[in-house]
Order: sequence, then C-alpha cells, then structure tokens
Amino acid sequence: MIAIKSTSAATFKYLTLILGVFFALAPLVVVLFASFKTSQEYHNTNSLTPPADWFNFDNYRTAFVKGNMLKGFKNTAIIMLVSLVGNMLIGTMIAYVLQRFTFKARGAIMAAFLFAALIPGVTTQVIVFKIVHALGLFNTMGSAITLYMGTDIIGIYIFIQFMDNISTQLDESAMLDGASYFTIFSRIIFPLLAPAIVTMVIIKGIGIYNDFYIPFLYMPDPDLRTISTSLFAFKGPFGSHWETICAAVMLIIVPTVIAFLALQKYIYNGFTQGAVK
Amino acid sequence: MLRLSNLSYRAQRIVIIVSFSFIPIALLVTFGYLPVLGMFKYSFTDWNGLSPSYHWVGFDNFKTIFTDEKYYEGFINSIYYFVGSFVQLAIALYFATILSFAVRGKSFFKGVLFFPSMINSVAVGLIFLFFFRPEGTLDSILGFFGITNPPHWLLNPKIINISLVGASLWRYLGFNFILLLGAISSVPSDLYEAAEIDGANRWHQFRYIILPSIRRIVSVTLILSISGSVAPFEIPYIMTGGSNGSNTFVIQTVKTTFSFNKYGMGSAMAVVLFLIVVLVTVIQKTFIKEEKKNDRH
Amino acid sequence: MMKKALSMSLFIVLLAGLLSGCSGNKNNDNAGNTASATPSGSSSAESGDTPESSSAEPALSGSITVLTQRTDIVDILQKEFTDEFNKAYPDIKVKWEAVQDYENNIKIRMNTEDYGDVLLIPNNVEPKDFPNFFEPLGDYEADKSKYSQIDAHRFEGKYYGIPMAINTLGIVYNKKVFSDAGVTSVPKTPSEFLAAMQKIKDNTKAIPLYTNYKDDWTLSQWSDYLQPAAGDPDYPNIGVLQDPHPWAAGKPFNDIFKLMYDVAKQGLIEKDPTTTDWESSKGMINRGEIGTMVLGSWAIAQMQGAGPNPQDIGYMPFPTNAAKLSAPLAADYNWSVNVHSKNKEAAKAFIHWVVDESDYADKYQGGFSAVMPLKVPELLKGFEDLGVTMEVSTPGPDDLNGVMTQIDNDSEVGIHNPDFKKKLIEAAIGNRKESFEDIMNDLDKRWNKSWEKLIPANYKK
Repeated sequence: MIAIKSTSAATFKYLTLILGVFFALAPLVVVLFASFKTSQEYHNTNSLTPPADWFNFDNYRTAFVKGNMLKGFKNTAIIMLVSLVGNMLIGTMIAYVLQRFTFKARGAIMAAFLFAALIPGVTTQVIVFKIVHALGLFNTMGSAITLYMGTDIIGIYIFIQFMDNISTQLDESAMLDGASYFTIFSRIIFPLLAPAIVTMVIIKGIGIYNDFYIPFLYMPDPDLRTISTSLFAFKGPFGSHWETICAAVMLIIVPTVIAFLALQKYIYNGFTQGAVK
Repeated sequence: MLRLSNLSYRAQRIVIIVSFSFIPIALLVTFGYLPVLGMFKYSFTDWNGLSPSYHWVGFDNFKTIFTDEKYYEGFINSIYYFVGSFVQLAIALYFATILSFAVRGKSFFKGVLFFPSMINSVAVGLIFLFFFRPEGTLDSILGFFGITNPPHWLLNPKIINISLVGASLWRYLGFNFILLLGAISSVPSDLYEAAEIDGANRWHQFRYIILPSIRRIVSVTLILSISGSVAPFEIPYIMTGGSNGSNTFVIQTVKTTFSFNKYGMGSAMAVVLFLIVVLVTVIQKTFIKEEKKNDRH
Repeated sequence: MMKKALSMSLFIVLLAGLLSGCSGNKNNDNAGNTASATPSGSSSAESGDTPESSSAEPALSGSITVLTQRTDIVDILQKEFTDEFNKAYPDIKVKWEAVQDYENNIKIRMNTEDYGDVLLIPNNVEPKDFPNFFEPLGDYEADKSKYSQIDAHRFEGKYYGIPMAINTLGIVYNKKVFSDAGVTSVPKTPSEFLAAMQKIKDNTKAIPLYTNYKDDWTLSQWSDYLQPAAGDPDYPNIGVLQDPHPWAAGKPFNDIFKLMYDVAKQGLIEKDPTTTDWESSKGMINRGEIGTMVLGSWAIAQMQGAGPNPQDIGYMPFPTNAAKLSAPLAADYNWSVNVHSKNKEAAKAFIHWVVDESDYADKYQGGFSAVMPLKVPELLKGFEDLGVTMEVSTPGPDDLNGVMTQIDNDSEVGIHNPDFKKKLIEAAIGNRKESFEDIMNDLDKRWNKSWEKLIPANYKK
C-alpha cells in the first residue's frame, strides 16, 4: 500500500520536473536554431526550421571577435569580482548587526532596506546619474561597482535566515574564550553562511553579468565595455543581426552555467551539513 | 590587545554596530533615498528633465493622475500580475522543496529550471516574439498535442495579459526558485531526521518544518513579487510597449517622462506608485506578522 | 532626528571623499573629459594635464569624444571612419562612445556637463534650451543656403545642429507583386491605393501592406508624411500650426491616419500585427511575400539587399488627395557640439568634415549629405520619374519656432510616438471599441486645447 503510494508520488514528482524542464527550455529552441543559421537563412526560413548546417559556427566566431567579447569578459570579471566581494561583505555585516544585536535603530534600518527595494527606479535615474557623476565615478568601473555593491533586502533576509539557525551558543562559547565580536563574525558566522553567500552570489552575479543598462549609461568608454554590452554590436536602429545575437547569447551563458553547476552544490549541501547546530 | 570583559563587550557592541552598518547605510542613502528626495521635489514641478529652469505647480500633477483615465488605467492590468505572483511563488516553492530531497539528476533539474533566469534580457523579446506568434513555438507544441486552432496570444486583448504574465513567470521563476532553495538549505537537517522517525510524510515535513523555518524569505519574496505586480515593467515593455490593452502604470510613467519630456509629471507618478507599494507592503507585513510571532532571542 | 540627519549627511560626504579618491587614478587615461565636470578636489588637479585645444597652432588639435546612437557600428566608426578623418586632421584624437537607447539615456547624461564633445540633438528639445546645451554652429541667415534643414534647430538667429543625413519619404513596394496582382500603374490617391491593395489580396498570396506594428518606430514615422498628404511644402511647419483643428476630417493628418485605419480595417495588413518582425519583413518584401511598407528612402537599399530579388524593389509616393505629389527632404539626427566642450573648435571641425567631406550620410545612414545643393542619389531616379517633387519643407517664421514640439508635449498627442497609431490599428481590427472618429476627435480636442494655450496671439483669428 505504502509502496504503491510512494511510487505514484515519485512518478508525479518526476513528471512535474520533466514538465518544468520542458517549459523552461522550449522557448529557447528558436535561439539555438538561429545561432547556427546564416544571415540569408535566418531571413528566409521559419524560426522553427532547424538550421541547414548544425556545425556552422560562423555566428559564434563573429560574435566573439566582432563583439570584442574577450575584453568584455575581462571587464565583467573585474567588476563582478569586486562588487560581489563587496556586496557579500556588506550584506553579511549588516545582517550580522541586525540579527545578533538589538538596538534602537534596528527596526528603522530594516524598514529602510525594505522600502528601498520598492522605489520605482524610472524617474530617479537622472538624480542617481548626477550623484555618480558628482562622486567622480562616471566613466570608471567604480560607477558600476559602487552601484552593484549596495546590498538589498533579499540579501539581508537570506543572511538573517541562516543566522537564525546558527545557535548563539557558538557565539557565547567563543566569548568565553575571549573572542571579540569581530572574530566571532569572521571566524564563526561568516564561514557558516556559505550556502547563503553562494545563493546570493548566484542571484546577484547573474543580475550583474547580464545588466547592460548601467554599463552603457555610466561607463560608455569603449575600453570599459562589458560582456552584456557586446551584444549591442549586432543591434542597431536599422536592423539587428539576430543570428549573431543568438550565438552571442549562447556564448554568454556558458560561463554562467559552469559557475552555476560549480556553485549550486554548496546550496543543497546545507541539507546534510552537520556543522550548523 | 583586547582582553575582553563584559564592559568592553558593551563598547565593542557600539563599535561593531556603527562600523558594520556604516557602508551599507551610506550606500543605501546615497543611491536609494537621496534620489527619492529629488523625485518628491520634482513631482511638484513642471520640469522637463533638461531645462535648468522649472516652475512649482503644487499638486497639479497629482490631480491629473487621479482624474485622467490614461494615467490610472495601467493599474487594472496589475491584477493579472498579482495573481501571477502567487502562482509563481507556489511553483517555485514546489520545485525548491522537492529538489531539496533526494532526486535523481538533481543538479540537472536545478540548472535547467534556473536556466531562463540566466538568459540575457536582450534575447527575451526575440524568444517570446517567436513563442507567441501564429504557428510559433507555442502553437507548434500545442499542435503536437493535437490542439489545433489556438488563439492569437498577443493579438487577442482578452488573452494578451495572461500571455505576458506567463512570459514573466518563465523569466523570473528561476530567481524565486534558487532563493527558496537556498533558504530551505538553512533548515537544520536534524529536524527532518527527527520528523522522519516520527513518521511524518513529505507534506507534513513541508508544512510543519520547511515552511515555518523559511517564512521570512517566503514573506519577503511575496512582498517583492506583489509590489512588483503593482508595477510590472520589463516583459510588457519589451513585448508590446503597453499596446493592445497591456499597458501598465510604469510603462505609462516611462512614456510620460521621456517621450513627452514631462519629468515632473513622471516623478509624481513614481511618487504615487511608491506610496501605493509601501501601503500594500505595510498591510501585508501586518498580516504576516500576526500570523506567527516568533522570538529568536 | 536632527542628529540623525546630520550623521547621514556626514556619511555621504565621507563616502564621496573616499570614492573619488579611489577613482582618481582610473580617470587619468580618459583624456580629461571626465574630469572637466567633476566638482571634487581631486580632479581639478587633473585637468591641468588635459590636452587643451590650442588656438595658437594653425592645425587643430586635442581630443574629442563623439556620441553615437549606432551601438552596432561604433567600432567601425572608431577605426575606419576615424582613420579617414585623421588624414585631414592628424592632431585631433577622436573617441567614439555608443549610447544605447539614445533618446532616453542622452537626456539623463545631459543633466551633467559630461555628454561628449560632439553629440546628436535628441528629439523634443525646445529651442529655448538649445543655448543651454549646444554651441552655436553659425548664423542661421548666413548658412541657410549652405546646409539643408538647419532651420529645425535654430534659436535667436543662431543654429545649433546640422543633419547627419537627408532622406525622402514614400512607400517601398515590390514591383513583381504589383504586376502579379494586375496593378499596372502606381496608385496616387488613397482610394486608388486601397483598390491596389485589395487586388494584391485577391490575386496574390502576398500581404498587401505590412505595418511592422510591433516595432514602434515603424508606425510612429507615418506622421512624417504630412507634406505628401498636404501636397504642399508650406504645410508641415506653417500651415499645420495656423490651423486650430489640424486633426479634423479632411485635414492632412486625418488623411494619413485614415489610410492607416482603412488598410487595417479592410484586412489588407498582416494577420497578427502584434508579432511582426522587422528583420524578417526585409526578406519577405524581397521575396514578394509583402506588397508595400511605408518607410523612408533609406530602407530601399536594405530591402534590396535582403534577398535574391533586388530588382523587384521599387519606391513610390505616399498616396494623397492633393493635386501635387510632394515628398519632403527630411533630416535625420543633427550633429551638434556640447556647449561645455573644452575642444569646441576641434568638435566643429569634426562635424564639418563629416558633413562636408565624408561619406557618412550615404554609407552609414542610408541617405545623402545635407550640403546644398542636395545631390539626390541614383536610387531615387525612378521615384522622381513618377512625377514626385522632392522638396524641403518651408521653414516656419521665428515666432512659430518650436511651437509644434511645445504643443505636442503639452497635449501628449505624441506626433512621433507610436501610441495613437497603435490604438488606430487595434480599433480597426476590432480590438478596441473606439471608432476612427473617436480617436481622431480626442487628438484634435487635446491638440486644440494646447494650441489655444501656446500659439502666438497673431495666429489666432
């Protein structure tokens, strides 16, 4: 009886997973197809017609060379590294303060971060630009790094979520050994936040990696182009080379997938970890 | 060297609170709230976004927003996105939960479910153009299952918003999913083990262990997606530009601000939007708080 | 509370100092144009070693930043095009910066002084603001016979922009589709046009008129056909403003959009306008799957190049009820110089070289140079042979300068926006309850209200 029930539950589980996979991937078929088509082929065949030559990597080559992707990857890597390190430090620090200590402004700070997430960015863009400019950051990587570094409510909440499950007894026993709050944070709390940090690195990192608005507006210098802005080398007012853009999108996603696969095991390992008590 | 007594912990406390909050708050104020002050200021002007000069117009902009249908009609479509945000959270929660337990090909499923959120948004418009067009990807799939004569997904004004919500769901589900997956991994494993010994099934484990443990993340996700549903932007903007009955308040704000150089008016719209979202959030927070109050210390 | 506010502002000041200190060395290789507008202390020292334009030398020198909307060809402009320029001006260093979503983002940048040395004037800037942002390029009266269309960006006797290219307006069509459908002569009036479209629908498999509804600009630009619809070059800058009700039935604006509405209403457009695709449409018209598209003359070469049948692509006038077939010579974006530029002379030299000497207009914008007398390209020979007069719209008098933009912004009619055009098509295919008249009456009412408010008194009768 139980066996039957659990098999049907398992069937249902895998069925939904496969359905999820199907719906996640199906819309992307056109991108994959287009990336292997020649320009004429793209213009003259249906988007759902498979490419004539599955080994036509011309678009990939064009995207990589003409899109100056190597430089883009380099700039993006620098920006991501600095802003993610900063973001994670800032986020865990403020979360530590908010979770471990009770003080007067605590609720206000929490609310300030929450409401900041609700600000419609459309009309504040002009003022943000003026501030960035006044700080002398315009047309430097500093502009993007600073803008990406600011932590947000999601980050704070997920860090707090994990700290909730890190017993304060750990802190107390460390304090008995004479550890300072800073040592407690850097030696005990921060390492135990690894799954949360990985989650946030993935979420934040993908946002930064794919953003083209901030790089275009705040650092238009061609030497500072990022991987995401390189896509626009194939998109102009008179026409877009979608076959090349699709190849570029496929190229751009490769590092993301690799990074994701490398990182994601840290997330669910949390389930079996014994350290968090 | 700090030999720490209770007194110096008190001093440390202050040092750590101030130093750890300094940079985050400075960034928040500089790039979050300072611009908001400007937004409030300009909402009372007729500034065009460029000229060095402008006039103060009092509450004129706000009066226009609430009297001209063109401005407030965008909110009606928010209902679709509102419903969509619950669906999205439910699906994300479902997948995050089942993938937290033993599943064959776990990494593969996780990667694929997150895949749509990794795609650069430049390609999103193209993907859904071909997905929704007649005889496009969606129609071909339906045809495979024997459904012929499907509706025009974007042409039919009764369906267009549902199509766009579907596209948004595809786009953002992955982020919710990963976030919840991360949150679930914070639940100490001994809790499951204890529950398993007690003979709790998966649903009970979800209902009585997982959900209560991650309710903070669930609630913030809910807040953000509901406030997001008041102001849906990216997908409808890329796909339709708000035409054919798919307009939203934010799209209207962008048009007013940039196409008609009415920066003051656009700021007023943003202020209205901000206040509404804050109101929705406050209402929501009080509800969730009352549901369960849990003291950590 | 007070204390809190004080410490907050302290944070910001500290942060500002910290960050600008950090970024100082990164700025160094940016040719000083970032430093120019930075108020913080660290950068004033930097501007000392900026290569200033030196008026003492006979040859111009210095470095300039040129902003372009062409994210797609900025690298070509930086290399090949700039190499050509440097043959003439070896000492002017040019750096190109592409601005994505130009219209919106340039306005954000123009709130600081940092918007390049050479840029394109965005739409909807009112003439009174020109001197705040742009350097005058000369006296309007002196140069109006030298460059076409410089009247559009003039203020108090000076002009601030020179068009990067000139184009004419008409309809791209597939000749083979027309002959297959049995349309023997090019339709000249709206009713002839509709009849021809109906023939295409009945006798061929082609879509008679492809609107490209999804790509907003393709609909927006129908408004530019004011001169063909009026058959009068005086109309777009003068006549339309003298009329308190230019959207009323029988007026040129109304005629243009009646045609748009009618083709949609009679089922002569694509089946699903919401999923049109601009890139595919090029191949489709080339292959004869589309009969016509309403587009400027820059599109001809693109449509010819998109498939195997360049010889089938033709260009014909926009149908009109007027006696005369008048096609405007319309300007693309205008080059201008940032009023805050430190190298104004080099920037001006660059613009003049681009307009006077280079092949920019033809090669990169698909049009022809604004230098008078205009040299109409071979491609448009057939267009002229149809009896079309290509002529520049007559500039309006000074007191009407910029009034059109003011009325348009105030009334939110959106002459150059897609909104009401999309509404018209949605209404025509039955997706909206409003009738053609409802939509046009609403536009006219709003226009008239703003017209009464903004038009100089001597134009009110």
